Amino acid sequence: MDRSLTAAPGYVEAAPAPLSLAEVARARRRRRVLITGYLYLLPAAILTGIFVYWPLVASGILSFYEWNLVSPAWVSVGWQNYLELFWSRAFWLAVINTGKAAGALTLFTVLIPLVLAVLVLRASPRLQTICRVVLFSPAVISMAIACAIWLWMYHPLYGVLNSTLRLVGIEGPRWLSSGDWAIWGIINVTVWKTLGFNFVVFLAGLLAIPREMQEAARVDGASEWRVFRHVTWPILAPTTLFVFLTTFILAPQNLFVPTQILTHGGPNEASNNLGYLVYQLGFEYFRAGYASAAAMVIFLIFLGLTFLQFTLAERRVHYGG
Amino acid sequence: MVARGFWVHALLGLACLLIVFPMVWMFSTAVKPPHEIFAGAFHLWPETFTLANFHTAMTQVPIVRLFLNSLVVAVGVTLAQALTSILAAYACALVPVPGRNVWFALFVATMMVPFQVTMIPNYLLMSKLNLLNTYAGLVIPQVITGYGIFMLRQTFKDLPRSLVEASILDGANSWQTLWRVVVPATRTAISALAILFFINTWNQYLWPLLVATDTHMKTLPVGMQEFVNLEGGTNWGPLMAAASMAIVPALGAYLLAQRYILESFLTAGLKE
Repeated sequence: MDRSLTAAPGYVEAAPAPLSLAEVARARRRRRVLITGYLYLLPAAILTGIFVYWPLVASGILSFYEWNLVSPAWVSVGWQNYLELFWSRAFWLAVINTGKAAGALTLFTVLIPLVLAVLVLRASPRLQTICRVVLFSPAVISMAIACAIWLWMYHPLYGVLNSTLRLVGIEGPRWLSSGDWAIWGIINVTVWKTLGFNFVVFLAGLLAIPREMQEAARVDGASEWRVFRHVTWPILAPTTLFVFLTTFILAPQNLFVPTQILTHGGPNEASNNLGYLVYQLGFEYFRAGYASAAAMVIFLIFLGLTFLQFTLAERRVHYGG
Repeated sequence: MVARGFWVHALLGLACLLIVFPMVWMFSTAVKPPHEIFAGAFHLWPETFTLANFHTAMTQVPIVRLFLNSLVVAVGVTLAQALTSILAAYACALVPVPGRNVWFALFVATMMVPFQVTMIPNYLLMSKLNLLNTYAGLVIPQVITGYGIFMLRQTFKDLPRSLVEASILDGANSWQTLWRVVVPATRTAISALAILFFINTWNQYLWPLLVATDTHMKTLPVGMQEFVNLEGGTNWGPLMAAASMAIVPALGAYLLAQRYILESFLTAGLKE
């Protein structure tokens, strides 16, 4: 094939020149390398096709049908599912709640771990180890189990939260069945579960900063705040941005388990969110087409946010060096 | 100076207490008799110590079976994900395949597809293949991870080129080079990633919730929820006992190998 490119014009029809034995061997080896190369890619390519890309397309197709998961007939409804979604109260509540939760999660699980990581560097090495082990421990247990524990702690009558509040004369709220509190009950569990991971990430970032730099600033008479502001923060900023963006983008996905176990999106959709909505529509209301429309909308939102993350992170890395 | 040191320690101590309290409260509830559980009082240490909740938990729900299911699924998914990641990452990093960057981009892009978007078609596929309530149905749709391919390609690329070239010059083909040179040289990174895969699968909830509806095919986090809303209200004592039993292996492994597990989260969980 290479030879036909180098051949002079007018010789297109000419018979190929006889190949030397070495050339034949090389060509054969090249073809074999090519085939083995594709063989390595094959399992991943097939599996990604079947379990990610095809479902994505199938969801898109299904979103234009009405189907209850069992009936043999799919009824084509055009854009009806999307229209219904955009006119439904549950969808907009889910959008608002997801935004609220993503904001709160980002605030709490970035700010608190950052402060704790800065503080822990001043503690004794012994306390440093204890803090690291303890704060990270919720990260290794299952979110479903964490939710079971908090479900019990939130119990309005016998739960430890309200019985302790009662000791000081406060009647605590019904944490999970009150429209005002339910979403915060979910956010709280998620903070408890994910805070330690970000703490460890920040700690690693801080430990990577050469101690001499901070010492030098202190010797020069800089206050602790100025040391943080001018030495620590510039180096830590890219880590913070990374943690900030991943926390924000993963928020809708992290909300699913607590919502399913603690509130089922209730009361009256008050704690519904985008992570839960698709499951609810598909597997509780058995409206596969409608659920797929919601899934496609979430996919587009998610894609936009990820794109934003990449552009922001790219810019930040260039500034941060 | 002393005052500031005090506040640093007080604040850190408080944070640790708040984090650890729910787990302590779980263990405490698990060993309390019902009248103490429903006393609505703050007693960390039970007045009467009992193992009855553990007994109830074991007899009402097949805990051992759930544990075994979790183990089979987690080991299966971990091995399969490691294998597919190693093969694809090797091709994308070290084997001269035309268009490998396009393939790599296609693999990595799967990370941007939220699970909720693919779950309905995947569920339908498993249902059509009669794989609901089977180990195959629990494992197969998860055997691919864009994340693993992404991490391992970087690891393989960072290997000294001379190492791979020397092996080829010695007459090894690419398959032998992979298993005799590349994988042994990167086994720390691979095992760190495998630990992460294992913990994630062990803890996952949504997919097994959809696929395993028979009690004897459920995984631990899903099966445990049977105590919630049993007729006559949630059975808090046995639920906390089951939660304790479910947590102990993960927590125990973490405490024993915490330095190593933290490191794998950090090295495998971060880009740099």
